[in-house]
Amino acid sequence: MKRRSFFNAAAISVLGASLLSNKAVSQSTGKVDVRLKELNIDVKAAEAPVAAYVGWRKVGNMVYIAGQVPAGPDGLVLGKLGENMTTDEGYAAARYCGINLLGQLKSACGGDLDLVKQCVQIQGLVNSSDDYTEQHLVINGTSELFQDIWGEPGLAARAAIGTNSLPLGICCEVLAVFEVA
Amino acid sequence: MLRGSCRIRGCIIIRRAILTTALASIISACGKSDDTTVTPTETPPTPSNGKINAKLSEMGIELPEAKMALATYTPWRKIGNMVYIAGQAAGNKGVIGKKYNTQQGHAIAREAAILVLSQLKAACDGDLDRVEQCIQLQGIVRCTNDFTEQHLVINGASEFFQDVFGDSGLAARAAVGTNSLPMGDACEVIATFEIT
Repeated sequence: MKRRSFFNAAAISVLGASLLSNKAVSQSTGKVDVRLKELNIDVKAAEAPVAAYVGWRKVGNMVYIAGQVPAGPDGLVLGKLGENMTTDEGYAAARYCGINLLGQLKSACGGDLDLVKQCVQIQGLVNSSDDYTEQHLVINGTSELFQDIWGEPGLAARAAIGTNSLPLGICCEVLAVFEVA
Repeated sequence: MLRGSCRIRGCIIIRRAILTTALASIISACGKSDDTTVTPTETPPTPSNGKINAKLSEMGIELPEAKMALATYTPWRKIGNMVYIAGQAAGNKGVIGKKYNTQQGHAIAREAAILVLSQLKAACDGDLDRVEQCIQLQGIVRCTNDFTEQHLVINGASEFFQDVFGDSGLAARAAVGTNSLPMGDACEVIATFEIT
């Protein structure tokens, strides 16, 4: 139990770091940064996770981003759709996942989000009760964020799926692959 | 019960590895004496001694033969310098959070990662030194509805690849839960690697 709370604390501190970075004011002024400002979203390049994985991997012009959690201004959004959360709340949480994906992507692009060509793939996992069937509407929270930023190229070949449980009790987790210049 | 058998299997692997190393040193010793006394010009047979093979034997790991696909799919696909490996599971049946705890889940995820490595070796024509980096790792944990330590379970796979390949073994990772997996397995690991 002690160990568990230690791990949770460690994980949350990692997540907290990415949270803080989202609050920080962005320095660069590329086209995408201007658009993010219009959308009132601050994205700073994410720091590397302190665990047995990396936030992103680049191979050729493809960037693979690790599953991102719904860390928002009030911390992690925990819950289960169809049990103690509405689809709208899930949508808002998936948007936080999207913002955290942007932080990783920015780091992979050396700070310049204008290098992004298109979003290739999104996988969204939704912590769901057995009878919940609106995973696709939850993951729209991520997809529509990217669409707002990049237009059609922000849309991905997407899969939205339900699961009975996610790490730390988070309500959703989103992974993405981008093509960059 | 199964945890015990995991341990036993681990011991067998380690014991086997010790025996193999002992045998290899005996054989090489015999080879040497042959070389010096009878046929000094003949080069001794070279064992596969890549860096990663050496690392694996140092870790006491003997990779099993790459498993055939269990259904209508291929165990791996190569495209350009990317290798996509099908989901691997080590055959520990049960639910994490009920039959197994996090620590046991960690060991089970590590076993699945060893199977991923076997497939990767087959995809690299036997030469794991060709592996550049692990790109993506998805770990699916069969768990109870209230289990929330999937990330700690999948560390079993991530830490294994880190032990074998160093920091290039770390992947962009996702750890998720599920209520059910094929054949009742407790954990499944899917990975993508870049090779030369």
